[in-house]
Amino acid sequence: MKSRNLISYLIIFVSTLAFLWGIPALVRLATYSGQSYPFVYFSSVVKQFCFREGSGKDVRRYDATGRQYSESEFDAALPMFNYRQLAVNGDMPDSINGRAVTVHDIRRSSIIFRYAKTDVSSPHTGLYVLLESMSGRVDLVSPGDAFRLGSTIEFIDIKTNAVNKTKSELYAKELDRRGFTFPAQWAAGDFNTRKPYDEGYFVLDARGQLFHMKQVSGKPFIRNTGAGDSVRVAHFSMLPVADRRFYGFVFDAQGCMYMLESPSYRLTKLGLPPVDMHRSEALIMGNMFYWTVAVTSPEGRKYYALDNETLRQVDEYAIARKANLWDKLSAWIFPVYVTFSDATKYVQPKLNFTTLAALTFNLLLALAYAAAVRKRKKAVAVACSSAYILATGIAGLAAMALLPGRK
Amino acid sequence: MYRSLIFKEWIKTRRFILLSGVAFAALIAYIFLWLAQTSGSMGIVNLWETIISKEFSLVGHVKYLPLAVGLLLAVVQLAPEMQSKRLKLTLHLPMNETRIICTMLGYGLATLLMLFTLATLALVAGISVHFSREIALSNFLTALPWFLGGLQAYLLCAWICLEPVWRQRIFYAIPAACVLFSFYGSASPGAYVAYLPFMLFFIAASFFFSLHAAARFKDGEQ
Amino acid sequence: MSVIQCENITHYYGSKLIYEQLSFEVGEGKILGLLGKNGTGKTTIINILTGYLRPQSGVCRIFGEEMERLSPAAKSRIGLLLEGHIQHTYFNVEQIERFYSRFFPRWKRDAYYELLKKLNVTPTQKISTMSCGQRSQVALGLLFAQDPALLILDDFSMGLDPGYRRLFVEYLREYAAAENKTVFLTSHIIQDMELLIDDCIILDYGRILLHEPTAYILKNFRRFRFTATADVSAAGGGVLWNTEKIGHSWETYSFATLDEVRRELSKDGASIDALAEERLSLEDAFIGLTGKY
Repeated sequence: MKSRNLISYLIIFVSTLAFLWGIPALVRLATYSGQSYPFVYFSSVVKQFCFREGSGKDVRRYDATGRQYSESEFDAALPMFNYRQLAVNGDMPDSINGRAVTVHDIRRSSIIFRYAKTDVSSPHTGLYVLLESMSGRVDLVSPGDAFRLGSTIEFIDIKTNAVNKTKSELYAKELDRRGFTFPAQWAAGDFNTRKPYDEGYFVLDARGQLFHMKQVSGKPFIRNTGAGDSVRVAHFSMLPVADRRFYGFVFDAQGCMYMLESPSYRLTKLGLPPVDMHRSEALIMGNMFYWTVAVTSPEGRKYYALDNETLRQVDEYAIARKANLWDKLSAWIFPVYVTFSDATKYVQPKLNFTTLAALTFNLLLALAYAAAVRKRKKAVAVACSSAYILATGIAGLAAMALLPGRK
Repeated sequence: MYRSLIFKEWIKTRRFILLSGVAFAALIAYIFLWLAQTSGSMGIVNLWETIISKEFSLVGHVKYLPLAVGLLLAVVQLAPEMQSKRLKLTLHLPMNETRIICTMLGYGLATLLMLFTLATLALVAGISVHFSREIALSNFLTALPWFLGGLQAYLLCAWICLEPVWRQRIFYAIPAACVLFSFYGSASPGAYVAYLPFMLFFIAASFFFSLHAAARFKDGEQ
Repeated sequence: MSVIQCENITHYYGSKLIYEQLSFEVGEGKILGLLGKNGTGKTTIINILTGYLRPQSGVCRIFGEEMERLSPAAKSRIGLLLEGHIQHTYFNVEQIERFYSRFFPRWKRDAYYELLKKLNVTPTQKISTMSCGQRSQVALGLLFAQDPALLILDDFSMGLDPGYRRLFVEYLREYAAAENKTVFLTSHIIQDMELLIDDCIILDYGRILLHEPTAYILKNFRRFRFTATADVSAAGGGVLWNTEKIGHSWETYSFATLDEVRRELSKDGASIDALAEERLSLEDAFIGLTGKY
C-alpha cells in the first residue's frame, strides 16, 4: 500500500486530537468541583456588602466588616431583598434612608438582570416576531407573522408562509426614512407575551447605529437611539422593568455597560470596569437605593455596589476562585488540552494552555518513552517520537501506543 | 473493473440499502405526521414562535439513524470480506490494491451520500411547505452534523472491520468513539457551523485509515 | 524459466520456528505439490507467496515480481484457490461469473459453464447454499475461465469426498497438461496426488525434507521389511528413513537398492533375514518419508 507511513502519522495525529480532548475531559469529570460563591447583596441599611454562606444549620451571615448576623438581623439589614419576609413578620420599616417605602414601591423598582457569555455567541434563525405595543388590550397578543431582517425587512405571514408585501414595504420605507442602513447586523428583543409591556426591538444597522423599532397602533415606530454616535454598540439586552425607567443595557465593544434610558435614549454608564463579554457572566440585582452587580469570570467573582440614581460605584468586593483538584492536576499533567468552548453555544474546539511546569511532565514522559524503546528503534525515530510526546503529552503517547509497530 | 467491483459491493449491501431507505422513509413520514399533529394541537403560529424563541428542532428524531446506517453499512459490506479472509480474493484481483480499497469505500460513501441527500432533501422540502427558509436552513444545519456523523461512523467502522487483529480493533474503537462523540454534542440548531471544517477534516482523514488496516492485513497480522 | 522462486524464507509465529532458510523454485509447465503433515506451514508458504504474509526474512518472486508488490498484470496471470474453496458466497452462480469476467481479458466463460453443467445447481443458486464439493467445482470453473498461467491451490482436497476429489484432480490434470500451465498446490491428503503432480516438495517441521520429481520417488523409494536378531539402529546413516520395529518384524524405507539396504542394516552387526522390498504408492512413500507420527 502506498503512503503507509504517512497514513500511520495521520492516524496518530487524529487519535492525538481525540485524546487531547477525551482524556482531560474524563479526568476533569472525576476531579472538577465547581466553585461555590456566597450570596451577596449590598445593604441599603448598613451600607455594606452582606454575605450568606452555607446551608441548613451551618449557614453564616456576615458583612464586609466581619460582623455576624442572626437570621432576623440579616433580614432587617437587607430590607430591599427580604421585604416580603419583613412584611409577613410585620417588621417592614416605614422609611429607609429617610425615604418612605412600601412593599409596592420596592417591588416596582426592583430589577433582576442576567448576562450570560453565550448571549453574544449563539446561533439564531434570523427570524423575529414583532408584537403590537399598544393593542388596547391588557395582554400582549402574537401578531401571526414573523419578520426576517437582513438586506431588507420582510414580514412572513405564518399561516400562508408567504411574504406580507404591504407590511414589509411599510416597515422598509419607514426604516429608510429614519436613516436605517441595511443590512442589519442584529436585532435584540423579546416577543414573550407574558410581560407587562412591549418595546419591540433594538436593531443595529450596517453603520453601527442602534435603532428602536416597535409597532404602535399598527404602525411602525422607528427611531435612531443615537447610541451609536457615542459608543461602538456590540450588544444589547432588553429588560422590561416595572417603572419603565430604561429599555435595557448596551454593551460597547470594550464590554462597558450602559443603561439605555426610556424614553430619552440617554446612555448612562454603569460604574463598572469593562466586562469581558466572552468569558464573564453578570448578574444585576437592583433596588431603589443600590444595585448589586456580580461579575463572574474564570478567575473569580467581583461585586460592585452602584448608586441607583447615578449608577456610580459606591463599593466593591472580590472573591478569588479557589483552585480545585482539576486546576492543580491539569497544571501538572496537561500543558495543552482541547475543550469545547463554553463561551459560545456554537460547538467550537478550543486549545487550552495551562502551565510551563506541565511541560516537565511531558518531558518525563518523553524520556521514559525514549528509554523504553531505544533498543528497538532507530535513533531518529526515537527522537521524533519523543519530541511528539514532549509537545502533546499523554494524548500523543496514548495515540502512539495505540498503533502497533511494524515487524 | 470498477463496475464489477461495485457490482460485488452492491450484491452484498443491496438488501441493507433497501432496508435503510425504508427506515429513512418511515422516519421522515413519522416526522411529518408528528409535525402535523404538533401544529394541529398547538397551532402553527405558536409552533413558529416556539421554534424562533426556544431552539426548538423539527428534525430531532433523525439524530441517530444516519449513525446506525453508517455503522451497519460498514459491517454489512466488510464483515463478509473479513470472514474466512475473503479479502485475499478481493485484493488478488488484477487491480491496484489501494484502488480496490478506495473503490469499496467510495461505493459505501456514495451510497450513504445518496441516502442522506435524499433524506435531507425530503426533510427540507417538507419543512419548507409550512415554514420559512430560515427555519428550513436552521433545521438543515441541525441535522447536518448527524448526517456527517453517519459518514464518519462508516469510515471509522470500515477501518475497524478491516483491521485483522481483534485487540487492535478494540484499541482503534477508543479514538473512533471520541471523534464520533464530538459530532453528537450540542442540540442547539446550527451550533455545529463552527465545527464543520473539523468534521470534514476528520472524515477526509479517516478515509485513509482503512488503507493502513488493509496493509496490515497484507502483512498477515493476526 | 522459473515461475516461482523462493529464497531463504525464514519465518516464526511468535517464537515458534516455521521455516529456516527455505528455498525452492518451480519451473514453467510443472505441477508441483507441496506436501506435509498438518502444521508444517503449507498454507503459510502460500500466504507468503501470494503476498498475504510478510516473512521475517527472505523473498519470493512470481514471474520475477516480488510477492509483496505483485503488479495487476502478474495477478491476472495467477489463479488463486484459497484453503476451503473460499469464494464470495453471497453471489449466485451467474453473478460470480459476471463479477470475475470483467477483470480478466482472456476470460473463458464457456470453460466455467462447461464444468458447472455437471453439477446439479441452478444459475441463480447462491454459492452459500452449495455443498463443499459443489463449491469446489465453482472455484475450479472460475480458475479455468480465468485461464491463468500459474495456479496456486491451497489444500484443494480439504473437505471433498473421494468422488469430487477425483473429479477435481482429473480436470486439473487434463487442463494443466493441455495448456502447459504451472501449478503449485498444497495438500495433506496424498491419495490421488500421484495422478497429478510432477514434482514433490515434502515439508517437515521447519525444513524441506525432499524436493524430487514424483516419478523418481515412485520409482526408487521402497519399503523394506525384515527380521533381525538384534535391535537395529534407527539412524540409518542417511540412507534409511523411519526404521522401526512393528511386532516381531522391522520395516524401513529407502531410495537405495536391496543390497545397499542390506549392507547398511548389517553395519551394526545384526543378522538380517527375510529382507524384502515393496514398491509404494505416493501416500505410502509420504508416510515413509515423514513418519507416522
